[in-house]
Amino acid sequence: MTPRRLTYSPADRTLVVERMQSRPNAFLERFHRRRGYATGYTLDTVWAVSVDAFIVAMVVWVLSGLWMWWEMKVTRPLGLAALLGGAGVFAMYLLTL
Amino acid sequence: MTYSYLNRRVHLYLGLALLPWFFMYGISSVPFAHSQFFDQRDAAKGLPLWTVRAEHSVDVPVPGNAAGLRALGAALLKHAGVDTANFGAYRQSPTQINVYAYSFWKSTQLKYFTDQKKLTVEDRRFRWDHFLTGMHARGGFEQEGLLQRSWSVVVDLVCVAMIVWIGSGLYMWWELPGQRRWGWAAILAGSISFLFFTLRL
Repeated sequence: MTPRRLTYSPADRTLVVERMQSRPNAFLERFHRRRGYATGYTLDTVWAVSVDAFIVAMVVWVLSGLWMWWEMKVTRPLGLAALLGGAGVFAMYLLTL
Repeated sequence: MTYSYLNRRVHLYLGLALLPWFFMYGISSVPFAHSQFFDQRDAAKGLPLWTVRAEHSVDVPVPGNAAGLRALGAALLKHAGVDTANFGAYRQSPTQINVYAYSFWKSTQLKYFTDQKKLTVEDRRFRWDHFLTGMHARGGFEQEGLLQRSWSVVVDLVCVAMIVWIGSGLYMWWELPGQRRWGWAAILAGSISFLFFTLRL
């Protein structure tokens, strides 16, 4: 919630402790970037496992969503147009950017 | 047309149209979450990540502001013969300016050593994990080109779409009374876990 920075200066043997100013965008960005496996703390590792679970869920949503769409025959033409349109734009970016 | 019908169709077609982005953001999160594994696997190959392509003698004034630094980056890229619209220029140290030029598929780094008046051009070896993380982290509003900026607009659209999926998904769930009990259990369990992590980490 409130990150702190510790700066130790060996020359004058001082330790400066600074608290980061609370900002919503920095708070959200820390959430987005947070990993966890490397720290060695159990709670961090559990967070990292939950992130992995979310990654798996995203792939499952994609595949299950495709399956549900295909089961609704009436939506196939427009769905195919949306799917191909999106894939086409994505491929264009992939080739040009 | 009822609101329920509209909600379901928006959820469906928006999802299908933006499916490549959703899939990409999901898959590319793997190398972000497991960067150590990918780095160790690549290090085992014993190959250098960056290869020096060329060295040039260049003598140009170094500006102090960010806009000037970007203009210098463009000039250095032109001098090195690197043709790209996607780049960033950074002051690496008091005597070094780095210019990072990139596409989804390849990256080139220019290092201008101001004290030696030397410019080196390095190419990065292709790695699939870097390809995915590069796509995931890519913005574009800071670039000048229309195509580059349009990618950022689509990314913004994907952000809005994700919020719409959440809202429309909740609405669809609420319309299924038989699923409400298990749905509440899932939502509460997820929310409590998230709150716990927020307060403790």
